[in-house]
Amino acid sequence: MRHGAHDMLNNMVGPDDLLLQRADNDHVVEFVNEWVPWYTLKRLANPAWSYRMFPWDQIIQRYHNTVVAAVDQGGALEGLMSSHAEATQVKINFLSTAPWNHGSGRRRRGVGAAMLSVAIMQSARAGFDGAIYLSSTPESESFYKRLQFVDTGQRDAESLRIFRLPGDRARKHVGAYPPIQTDRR
Amino acid sequence: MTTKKIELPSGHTEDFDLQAGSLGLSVSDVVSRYLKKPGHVLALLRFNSGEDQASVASATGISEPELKAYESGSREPELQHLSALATHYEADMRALLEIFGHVSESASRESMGVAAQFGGELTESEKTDLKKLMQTFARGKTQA
Repeated sequence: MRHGAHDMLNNMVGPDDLLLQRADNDHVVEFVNEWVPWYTLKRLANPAWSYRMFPWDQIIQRYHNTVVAAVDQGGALEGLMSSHAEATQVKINFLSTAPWNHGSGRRRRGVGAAMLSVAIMQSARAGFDGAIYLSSTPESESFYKRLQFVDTGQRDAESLRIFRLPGDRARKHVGAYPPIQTDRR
Repeated sequence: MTTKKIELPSGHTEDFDLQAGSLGLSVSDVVSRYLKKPGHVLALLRFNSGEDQASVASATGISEPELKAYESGSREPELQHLSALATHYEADMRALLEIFGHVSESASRESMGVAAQFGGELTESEKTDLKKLMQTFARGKTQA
């Protein structure tokens, strides 16, 4: 049995009123109609704003079984994460918080961390002790360090630093997000 | 680009390119991929500033019919008009030039990796149009 991130989604809720759901076409629609205009405006207003815009419509449609969405009670899409299990740990392929949650003046904190909890539990369920890893863009390195990720000293093919959250640190992270509510989908 | 086989729950395996795309899409990639017309960016800027076409036209020296044509995408904006709009909205001129094809983005390996990996056009109905942009604003969610 594969241990997808989706297996974790019953009984998971993030901070406050955030729900964690399997990504589907409704989230693609939200991405196109909400994230895209917001991103475009902010980027035009501020060329220095460092937000990585991934083609989540394609990631969800092609790899939908790997994608988790973080949604608020009103249905607003607050974050997306694609992860999958490798031989000994779970890799985070892409992680995005909504553009309005990124940078100064952001509306919500904790969305990325909540989604990472799902990947940690996916890893634990797969017998990897909760270990997860990812490549970090330079501007995100401090975010991962704050979450107790370790710089492995390795770089990926695009020269991004590879960060890893080992099992013991991962367990402490998940402790901050106790499961409360079932996935409404 | 390195690829790994991943096994999807369906049992199929697929090449999942784990590296390409980490640098994301440029703003002109985003506009061409998700908006029906590049001109809709100009409408988006106007919705965001809360103005009507008459007031933007008068502030920029562009005639209303021209502005309407630019926003709807039926006409490409002239360079000096684009510049006037960039100034009026305090928008990044370089990005607008790329969006309207006046400047080609420097083709980096990374951005080409994104395009190659995530090719596949959206259908017209999947792209966002002026009506949807208006609805987004009506919901009050889009404040840069």
